[in-house]
Amino acid sequence: MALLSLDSITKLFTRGDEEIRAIDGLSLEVEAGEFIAITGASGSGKSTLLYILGLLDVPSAGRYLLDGSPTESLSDDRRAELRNRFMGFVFQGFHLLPRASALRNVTMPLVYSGGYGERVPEPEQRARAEAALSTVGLADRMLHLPNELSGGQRQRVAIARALVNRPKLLFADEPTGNLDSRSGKEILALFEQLNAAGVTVIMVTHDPSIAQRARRRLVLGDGKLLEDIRAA
Amino acid sequence: MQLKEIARLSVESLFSQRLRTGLTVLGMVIGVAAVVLLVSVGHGAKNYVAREFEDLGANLIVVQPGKSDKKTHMGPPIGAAQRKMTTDDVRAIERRALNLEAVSGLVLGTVSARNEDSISNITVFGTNEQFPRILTIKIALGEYFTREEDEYRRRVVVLGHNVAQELFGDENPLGRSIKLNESEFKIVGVMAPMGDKLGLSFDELGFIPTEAALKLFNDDKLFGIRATASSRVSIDDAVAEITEILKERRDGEEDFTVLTQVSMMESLNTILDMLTYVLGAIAAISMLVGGIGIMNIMWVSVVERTQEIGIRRAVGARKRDILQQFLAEALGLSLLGGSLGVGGALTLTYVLYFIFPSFDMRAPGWILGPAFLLALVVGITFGVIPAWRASKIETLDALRYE
Ligand SMILES: Nc1ncnc2c1ncn2[C@@H]1O[C@H](COP(=O)(O)OP(=O)(O)OP(=O)(O)O)[C@@H](O)[C@H]1O
Ligand SMILES: [Mg+2]
Repeated sequence: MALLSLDSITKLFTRGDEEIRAIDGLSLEVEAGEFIAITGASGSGKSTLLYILGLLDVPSAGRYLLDGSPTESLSDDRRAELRNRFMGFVFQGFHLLPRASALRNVTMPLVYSGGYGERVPEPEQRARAEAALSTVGLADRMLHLPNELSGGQRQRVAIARALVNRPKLLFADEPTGNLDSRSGKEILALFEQLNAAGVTVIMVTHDPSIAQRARRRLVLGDGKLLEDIRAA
Repeated sequence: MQLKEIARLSVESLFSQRLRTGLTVLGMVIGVAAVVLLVSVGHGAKNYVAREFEDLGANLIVVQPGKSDKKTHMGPPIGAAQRKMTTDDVRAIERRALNLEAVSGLVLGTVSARNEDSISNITVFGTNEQFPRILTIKIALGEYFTREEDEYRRRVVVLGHNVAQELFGDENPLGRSIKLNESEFKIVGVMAPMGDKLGLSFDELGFIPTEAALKLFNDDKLFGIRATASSRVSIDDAVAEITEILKERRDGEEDFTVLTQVSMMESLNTILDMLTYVLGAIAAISMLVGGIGIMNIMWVSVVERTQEIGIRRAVGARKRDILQQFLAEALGLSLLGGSLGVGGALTLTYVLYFIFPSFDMRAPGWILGPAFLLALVVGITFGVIPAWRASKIETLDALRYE
């Protein structure tokens, strides 16, 4: 059984009379342990698809089965729980709390784990957040506020936050977009390492050299799946 | 989310906007302090009145002619002869009542008091020799007149401090004579300065024996009877005795009223309590203004932090986590407002007591808790709506909010 299964998913946005089909009848199956790169022109619906997969948005039509269970009837709080326990999300715009240090930004998901019966004691929260920040090479920037960090550093804080709760599913929206090619390669290597350990990785990227390294590549155009390429 | 984390978030948030927090809290502080201060003033007034009553003479019993019929509000029945209250009544009470320490008739009148040099209008009390045991009267020179002086209708007088001053200046008035209206009275005592008691200036009075007073005013009835019970616990028995004795002397008719210091104080206290509660309630309305201030600032806070709400929800915060976070902030504001308000008002009342010790308006303990709690309740009530709205914001909308 597929870990993620999309069946004729459509996402409509209405602006006045205008109707935008951000996702247009898209079907897709993702097995556990896959490493997927999504590419496509700007505005082709990549972020929208990632939001739907990451339970941050709901499709206008179609079915989305997560681990075999339908998702349309999930309550907001149940979605929050699944995001917290099983998913990591790196946003295109980072979305860090401006008044919290890198360390506290990364700790945040663990703070909410307690609500789902997985209380992480405070020293362990800190240790895990520090470990995650070290993994992305920010051991020396833990107490900086986001506005005291470079774009690439902020992106890495966002990545650390996505990793800190040891997700089964990692969604990353252009996680290397602000990084130089060497740092980008390092992040990619980290993702490959996580993937090797069993984490399913789905990332959006514009960088062909990075997309090339994924075992499966999806190309989106106007909300439709144009190509689904698997590496030999 | 753990309580500790919630508390930390709200403290950080309030601290990061110090001026805004301060101004919002100020609104609440004023409301809470107003409640405590006004209640303290009411309480102080009550204390003041109680002290005045105590000073006047503990266990005082007042008997006045005429029935105050509370049941019908019709007054005494028409045609029912109202009997005079006389010195015979006083003597009967004195002879038969067991629970009394002292009893005296009271005759009231205004006279002109004059000696060779000066003249002044004074109020005189006609009493028997027991009167100083009923009302606290301090004698500075000489002494109060005796039973014999009363019975033999001696014209002797005890002068209030100011009266003696006016008529005799620094000279010793003892043994000298003055004229009350046209009768000559010998001065046997002068009172120590006593000041005002319940609006009556004792320093402007003169005291003469009952019999002499009746003669002076050419009258045979008393203004009333004053007595003092032998102890606090025997007041009720004393009242019953007096009522019994007087009724018997009036063919069973109760055409008089017996009041005690306790009952008078109680009815006055009821009025003052009423006043205190009304003042407190009016002040509580100003707490609402503080509450609206909190609500206003919470709305601003929610809108400002829409993106933060989105981020927190995205990484796993439940609706109730968001609700708690913002409620904690409102609670923090009202905690600050409540404690500063109560603390400030408490300090102020103590400072005022220190400056004006005669009027003890130190805040009574019982108002502190409720005033503080009311601040919390108001703050939370007004904080709930913004916090609830915050928890309802759609995750993705919040995330995209700029
Ligand atoms: N909230 C929204 N309201 C209206 N239209 C939206 C909204 N979000 C996305 N869209 C539209 O949906 C389409 C897909 O947007 P999406 O963000 O998924 O594109 P993308 O592939 O991620 O583009 P990029 O590579 O530039 O990030 C775009 O045309 C966009 O204008
Ligand atoms: Mg995008």
